[in-house]
Amino acid sequence: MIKITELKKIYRSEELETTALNDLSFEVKKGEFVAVMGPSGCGKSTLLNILGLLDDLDGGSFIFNGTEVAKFNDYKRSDLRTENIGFVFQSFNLIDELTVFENVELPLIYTKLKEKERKKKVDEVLERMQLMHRRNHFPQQLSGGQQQRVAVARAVVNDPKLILADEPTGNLDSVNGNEVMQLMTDLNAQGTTIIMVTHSEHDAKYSHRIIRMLDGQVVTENILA
Amino acid sequence: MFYTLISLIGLVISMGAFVILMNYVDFESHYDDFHTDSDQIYRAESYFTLNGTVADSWATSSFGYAGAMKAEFSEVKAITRINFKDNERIVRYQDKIYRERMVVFADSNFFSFFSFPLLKGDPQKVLREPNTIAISASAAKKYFGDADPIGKVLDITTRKVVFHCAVSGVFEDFPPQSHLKLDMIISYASTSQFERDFWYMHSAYTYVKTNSEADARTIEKKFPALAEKFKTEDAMRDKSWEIHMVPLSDIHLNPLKPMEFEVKGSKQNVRFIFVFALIILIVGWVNFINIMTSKSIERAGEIGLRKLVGSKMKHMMIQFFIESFIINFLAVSVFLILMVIALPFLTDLYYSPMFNQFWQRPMVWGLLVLIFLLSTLITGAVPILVLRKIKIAVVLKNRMSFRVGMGKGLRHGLIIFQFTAAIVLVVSTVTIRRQMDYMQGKDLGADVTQTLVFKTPAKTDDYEGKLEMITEKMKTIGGVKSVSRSSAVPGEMVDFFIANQRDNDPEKVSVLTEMFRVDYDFIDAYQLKIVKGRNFSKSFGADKDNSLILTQSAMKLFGFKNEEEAVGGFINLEGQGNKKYEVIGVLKDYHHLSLKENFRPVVFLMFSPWNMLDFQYVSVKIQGANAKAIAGMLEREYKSVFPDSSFDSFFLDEFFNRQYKEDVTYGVIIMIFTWLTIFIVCLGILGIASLMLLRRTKEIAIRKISGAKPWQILKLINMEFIRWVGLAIVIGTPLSWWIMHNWLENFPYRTEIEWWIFVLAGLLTVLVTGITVSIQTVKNALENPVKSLRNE
Ligand SMILES: Nc1ncnc2c1ncn2[C@@H]1O[C@H](COP(=O)(O)OP(=O)(O)O)[C@@H](O)[C@H]1O
Ligand SMILES: [Mg+2]
Repeated sequence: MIKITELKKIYRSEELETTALNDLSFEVKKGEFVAVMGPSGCGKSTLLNILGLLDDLDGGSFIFNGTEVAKFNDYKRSDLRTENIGFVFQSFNLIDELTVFENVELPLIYTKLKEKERKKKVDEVLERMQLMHRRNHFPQQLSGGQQQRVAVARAVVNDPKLILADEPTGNLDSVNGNEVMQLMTDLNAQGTTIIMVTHSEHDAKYSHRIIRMLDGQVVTENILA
Repeated sequence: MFYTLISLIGLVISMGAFVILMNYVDFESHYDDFHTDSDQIYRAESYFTLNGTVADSWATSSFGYAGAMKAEFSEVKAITRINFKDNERIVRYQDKIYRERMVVFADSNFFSFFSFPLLKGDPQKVLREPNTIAISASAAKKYFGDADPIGKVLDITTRKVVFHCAVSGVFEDFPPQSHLKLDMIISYASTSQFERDFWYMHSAYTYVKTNSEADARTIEKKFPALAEKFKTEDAMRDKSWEIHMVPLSDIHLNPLKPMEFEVKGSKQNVRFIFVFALIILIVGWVNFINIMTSKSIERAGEIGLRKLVGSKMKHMMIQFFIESFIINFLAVSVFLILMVIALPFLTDLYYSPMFNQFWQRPMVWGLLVLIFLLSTLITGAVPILVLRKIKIAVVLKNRMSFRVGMGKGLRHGLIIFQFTAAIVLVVSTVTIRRQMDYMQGKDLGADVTQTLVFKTPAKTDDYEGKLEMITEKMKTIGGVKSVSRSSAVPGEMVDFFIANQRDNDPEKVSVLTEMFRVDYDFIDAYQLKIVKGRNFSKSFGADKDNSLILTQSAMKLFGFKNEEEAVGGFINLEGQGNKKYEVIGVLKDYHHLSLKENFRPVVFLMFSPWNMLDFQYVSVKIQGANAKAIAGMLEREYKSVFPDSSFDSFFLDEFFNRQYKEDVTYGVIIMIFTWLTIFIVCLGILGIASLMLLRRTKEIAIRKISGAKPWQILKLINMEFIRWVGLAIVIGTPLSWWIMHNWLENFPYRTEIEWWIFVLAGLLTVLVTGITVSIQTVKNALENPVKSLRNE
């Protein structure tokens, strides 16, 4: 599903250049659950942003579903992303002014779906995430675990083939964390490919394979299952 | 800094505009109140009724009113009178000859009745002796330079009489806020007996002092009975002669009546400007409050707000007040500096009353202090109230409060107010402008273009002969199409009313019509349209002193059913017994005055009833471009025959359009302040939009990650504002229609308020808002969402 070769990403500011990703290469197959680990600042988030088509790259190749997307412009990337990818962040990134329902609905708003179908889909997902009773609440009224469940619901609402999660349990206690990890596993079991950045060896155990990074490069890969 | 600047600029403009406009409102509404006892002074204005309905309403009274009222009404504390018959006179001192606009006769108590200061002479004595005159300081300067004018003799000439008057006093030029603007005042004792007690010529202003308003009303009630004793002639006998005691302070803003000379104000325009002043001030405040609260919400953050308890809240309040005090102080200072720089240009440029003696007016300073205090209070207090409310909402954590509670309710209300104001102002500006264009563009029915008019000279021997002679001579000048003499010209009231009757009218109804003396050429020269009958002609010997031509309005007033009946009909003129005058033609109604006035009942004639209807103007119709050269030749011709008169000429189209000057200026004022208001509204949008974006950076990033395209982000933010514009359109459209509908009601001839004006106003507001918001938003819309989130 994803194949990157010699991926390069350099951040340039006035004073300095940071090479965030340095000739990074790996492959992720459809249906895989991959954990990415490594010390802070080694380039994990940068990698996820590029995989998520949120950022452009400075070198190398990125084949997504058999298509080279390295040279895609903003618009094409955006289309590809909306159809295929869902995101989960450490800090949830929900919109405070919108209800749970509206937050989850967000990715569907920018598709051609009719309102009725949207509602059906959102309710389906909320049901699945056991958030129906929170439907009309605002994020600030929920616990951290609930908020992250909303974020996961948002990530999966348009049935993406790939979910990118950046430290999804980083802001959660272990009970809530485990709950979220269980959700991830379930999603993966239903066929969704997952790439998850994590600091926690415990969480990483839910995955099939761990990619360990250092200074923008892959150091080792462990296959778990 | 950016926000402070925006709110500062908004405040400077709105406070400045408020002070300027309110000063103008104050200026216009306090005419004539510099006289001591000004609240006890009334002008007796004639009001004729027939069976209870008004037949005529003039600002004037007859010469005889004052004497009779003083003798018969105990309520009259003091009375004084001005006789302005032939007010325009040629004044001469040695080789200095000028035509003075307002030379009048006044009773000897004039200077003790009013408080016009005398620079030279004793108020009790100046106007006591016959053939004495008081002149204005600027007239004194003009005729005598630095020499002492007292005792010097001026020759004061009308077309029929010459007075030789010794200067007995010099008065300060009448102040700008005086409805009377006199150049020279001759003692009443100089006039003939007829001009002292005659009841059939309304060429005087009578001013009355009473002890109370009630006394003034009593005088009004008693007057008709008094008049019965004096209206001994036939004319107007059927009418009831009443007077209105009009308070001195109302005169300036009352609608123009026949025989008023001063430039009038308009109550309605003043009221409009007052409202505009308030609107622009509130828009500025709204702007400021909006930005301040948004900024403080930003600053405090939601968590911060929750912690805002007790002492911290107090601290914040103090901080707010200090901040708004400083900004308001800055705003006032900037305004003062700008005015010091701009005032010299402004006084030259526009409407002088607005900037007249700007710094000397206590009102300006009063307003500045008031507005500064008020503004500090409001802009300091409202944000605090808003924050308080938000805090409670946050603490309660109730569901709705998250959505609406963040001070949004108030801020949105304020935004809607601003947009509504913008729409109302745009609709008003366009409508006022269209009305002005309509009035100035409409066919008058009389041709006033390419016309040079000069005023007839002062008394000489063989006056009419000489005037006719130069008329004929001027016709031979190249480029001159026609030369014609008349007692008035379009744009100047015909102004000679007499009460006439249809011959053999069984009911003996006399109607007041305006008598317009012309010569053979006038009607053709002005291209007045003869609907029926014929023009005056040399081939009909009787025309010279026996024939009349009526306008359609006059025809109807006399009770003729139609033109067929009128032509060949007969009319008896006031004071001429049963003598029959034949109607030889009927003219299509034409606009003798501006379109602010209705068509008038005018009777054209070639002779001078009672020997009082002089030719006052000579109209020269010219062809080709060289008007200046022709004017020069006319003057030489004139001077050679009338060396003792001044040559005073003007182009008739300019003269005619001066009637619109006030309204055009008014339109320009409204327009300027409309643009200023829209500018402030833009500043406001700019500030609010940028704060909104600051608050919504994260949201925008999340939306982009969720698939929103840049244009969808632009749309999202724009819609936030356009919604309020939409609401403002819903409110502003009927509101502005109503306002303008009422305004137009004042004009007998008016444009329609077309639907597209509202569309234009709406579109303009949407467009301006859209552009302003988009400029702010485009950067956020294009930004990589990853970056925004990273900075969170
Ligand atoms: N937008 C950016 N501009 C400049 N440098 C960046 C930016 N994003 C990340 N970096 C730098 O790139 C490196 C990798 O960062 P990141 O991908 O966030 O690491 P990780 O997620 O593994 O902690 C770090 O040195 C970081 O400072
Ligand atoms: Mg990271």
